[in-house]
Amino acid sequence: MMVKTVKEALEAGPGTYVGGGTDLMPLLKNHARDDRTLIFLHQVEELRGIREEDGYVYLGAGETLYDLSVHPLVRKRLPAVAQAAGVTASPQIRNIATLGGNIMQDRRCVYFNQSRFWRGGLELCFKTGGAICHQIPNSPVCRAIYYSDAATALLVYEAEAECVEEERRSWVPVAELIRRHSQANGLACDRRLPALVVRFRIPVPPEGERSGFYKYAMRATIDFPIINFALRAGGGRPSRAAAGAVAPEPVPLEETAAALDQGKDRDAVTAACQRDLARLALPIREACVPPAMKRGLYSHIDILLRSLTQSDRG
Amino acid sequence: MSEKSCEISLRLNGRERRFRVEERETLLRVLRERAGLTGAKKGCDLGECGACTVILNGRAVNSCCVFAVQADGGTVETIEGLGTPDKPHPLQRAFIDAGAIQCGFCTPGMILAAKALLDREPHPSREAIRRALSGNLCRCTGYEKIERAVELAAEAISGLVEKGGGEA
Repeated sequence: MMVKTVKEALEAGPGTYVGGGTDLMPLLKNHARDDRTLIFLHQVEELRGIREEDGYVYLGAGETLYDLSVHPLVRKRLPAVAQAAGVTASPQIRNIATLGGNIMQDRRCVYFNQSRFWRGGLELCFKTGGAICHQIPNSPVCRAIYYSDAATALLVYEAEAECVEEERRSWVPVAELIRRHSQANGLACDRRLPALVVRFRIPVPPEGERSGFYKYAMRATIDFPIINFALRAGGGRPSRAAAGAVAPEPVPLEETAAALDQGKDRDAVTAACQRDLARLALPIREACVPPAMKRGLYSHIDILLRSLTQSDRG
Repeated sequence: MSEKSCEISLRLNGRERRFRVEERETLLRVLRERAGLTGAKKGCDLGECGACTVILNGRAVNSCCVFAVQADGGTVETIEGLGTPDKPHPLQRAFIDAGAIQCGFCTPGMILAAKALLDREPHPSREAIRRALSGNLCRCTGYEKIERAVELAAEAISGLVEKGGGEA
């Protein structure tokens, strides 16, 4: 059903909200999901807009990743968001995929993102309505990984999302939204989080702050990340760092951020990041990526640190 | 048609067209099965290979991953709308001249991704060309000739514009 306002979208439910649809479409084709009611949001004007106002940068949930990646305000104020949006998937996907859809994307797993025929030989897993995780059979919950690039960037800027849920509109921290979405997304698709994301807001970063994003994938384009990092430092407030594609939600790297604030050198910050991720990451079997390979990439935050240092000098 | 079908209108290769589509139908299916435009190819059907690339409202998209209803009211360009055998588009001419075609399966998608780039950025660097075509896979040519073809087309289009020699 196509809707033109948030009110119409809410009245059309319950259903699955579709931003760009690029994450959902392959899942429907593979019968991994069987969403009954689709609510298309692309004509909802309220979900659009990128602007700075009252000390916040506002990003409409319906803005495309391409638009975010090239928008001068986003590039200037939130470089990690612009960089993350600019390396997600392929140009064709970025031209239609939305920020809201990217944040509310399905978690992925080699036992789930398969054709119905392929999955037919397996018992139903948590994500398909069963009671087992094929990755970790003794796990009480689904361990599929959340691969959003933009989410990692939004987390370090302490973004909030304006959501409408059960007809109540409120601002919630993006970290909390992702946590709740991730939990619901580990269950059959009819148990999804019934939240419509309208827009995001991020406090305008202080002058002098440096921030950036780094992604490592098998191919530089099209592929989901094997790991990604975002961090911000300086500007007179405590640093923040986060990593994505390592667990069912992005993980905050607190020891790493503390090392940055203590002025430790790059090697020490990288070592702190490795310790953070050794504690927080929950690697699983991925296509072509054994967990040992992922662990070997925990040190790649060094590449982001180096690029931020170089941009300081440049 | 199910109760979840609806009518959409497209400006398709310059002509107004109307289609009755299923809610979950892809733009690619409408183009190939309803409009008879088979230039956009069904490759991976998952948004990874770019063989189905068309231009929707000025931007290259994977038509296999766009719901047809999302294109309602929009402008769609496919390879059939670009040129004719007698008067090929400069990109089509350049792909032939540079030998940038082998099996041809990826070619319509490559050309449309390149056209979206040149419409936005008439003089792209080699790096910009690579980025713009990074969502299109080719298993024959190795990409060098394709990149060269886009450079040739950019030069040709610039020449046409400077001479006032018609629409590119």
